[in-house]
Amino acid sequence: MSEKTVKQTIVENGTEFEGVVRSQCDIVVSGQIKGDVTAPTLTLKPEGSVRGKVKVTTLKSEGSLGGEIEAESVELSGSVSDDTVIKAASLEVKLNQSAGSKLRVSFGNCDLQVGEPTAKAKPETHGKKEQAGPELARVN
Amino acid sequence: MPDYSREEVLNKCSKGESLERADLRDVVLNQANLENANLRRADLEGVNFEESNLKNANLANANLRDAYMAHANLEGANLQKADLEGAKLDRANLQNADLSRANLEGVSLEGANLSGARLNYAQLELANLGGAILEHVQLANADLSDAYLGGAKLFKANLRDAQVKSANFEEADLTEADLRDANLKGSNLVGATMTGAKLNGLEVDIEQLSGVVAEWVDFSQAGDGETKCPGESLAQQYEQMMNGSAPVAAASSSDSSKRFFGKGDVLRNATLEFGEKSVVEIESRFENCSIALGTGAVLTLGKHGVLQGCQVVGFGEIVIDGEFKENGKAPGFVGPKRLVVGKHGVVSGSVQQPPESTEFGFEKGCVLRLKIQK
Repeated sequence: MSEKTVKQTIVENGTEFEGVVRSQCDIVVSGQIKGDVTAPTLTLKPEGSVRGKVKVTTLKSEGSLGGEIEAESVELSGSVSDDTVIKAASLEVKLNQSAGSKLRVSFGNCDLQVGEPTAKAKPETHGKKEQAGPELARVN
Repeated sequence: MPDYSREEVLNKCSKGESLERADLRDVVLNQANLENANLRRADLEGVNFEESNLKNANLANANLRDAYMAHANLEGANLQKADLEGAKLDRANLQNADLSRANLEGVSLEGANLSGARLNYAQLELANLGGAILEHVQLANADLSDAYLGGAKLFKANLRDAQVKSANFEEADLTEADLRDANLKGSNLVGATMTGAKLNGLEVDIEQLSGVVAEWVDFSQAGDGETKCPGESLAQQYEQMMNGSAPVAAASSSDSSKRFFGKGDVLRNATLEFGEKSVVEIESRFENCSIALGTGAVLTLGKHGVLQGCQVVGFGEIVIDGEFKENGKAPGFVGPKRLVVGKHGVVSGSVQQPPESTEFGFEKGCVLRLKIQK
């Protein structure tokens, strides 16, 4: 029986990376990345940090996130730094259930553009699939 | 060969002599008077104790696997850490007995009386407790997975942190039972009565609650009845609790802090102030309104609710399941303690966080055009 291993690009704790990362593998970050990241899935561990342009299908962040983030599905905890824009089809931020516990996620000054605001009103578009991330809407 | 015959056992017991660690397998001890007997760590596997009197007996750590104890009197007995796997205790009297950390896997306790018994950390997987009386019983941290509790009386039972997965509570009475942080996933709750039950942190699937009968339940963390919720909206209240928002308290004569704005109403250009710990539910349409929330106040915008051009100010909790559109005063939310947007919620606007930062919760499916300011 052959065992199927899932390939991952891992940026370990203590590693700092600056530049452009384009990967067809999922990326797991415990270290620091400054720059652009393109991958199917990006997972930020609590000690991990990413600053820059991120374009992924799935983002799961428990670490520190900043920059322009574009994803289909985002699950957030940890922190989101100033000047961050998150564009996503879906976003999930869970609350801490226990009283007196720390915030699950802390937000700096940032923009969240999540979901399709006109989806209910618009007829469904057949045969034309949108790219990851919703259309932008101006927030005052 | 057992260490003693039936006559020797009865003789020693009548004299108050200890039978600790005795091997009594295969001794027939039905209808025997063993009150106050010391049978600690005794090997009693498969022994017949039918209708015996074991009141206040010490059976701690005893091996009672597959013992036959139907109709036995075990009132006040010490059965701590005893191994009763597969034992038959139907209609036995176990009032105030101590069964802490006992192994009761697959045991039959049909119709048994366990009122006031201590069963903390006991293993009761696959146990049959059908019709058993379990009033005031201590079952904290016990494992009742796959157990049958149909028609059982669990009035004021303590099931905190208990594992009760895939159990059957059909027609059981859980009035005022403490189910905080218990896991009842997959359990059958059809016809179970839960009036006054403490449900904070309870783990169930929403649909399981549809068959529950309750006039009101308690979602407060302390289980002190501070957050009484009406039973008819149990599933909705439970969902709110799991989303981290405070469930809406049940209306009562003493509950003057609750405000409800019903579907179809429209309120324009109004200024509303809600005091500390107010509970506000909006299913109406508010336009260009200013809403001030006192500390600890909870504002829930229901599925039909719309806040258009409104501003909500204050250190309260805000739950959005309807639609919030700022396009008026900005920021739309000023200083909220908590902002939760449910899966049906639509928010377009901005949040000015208080110095201690807002606690955010966003459910999958929500729609946000949200600018967050520190």
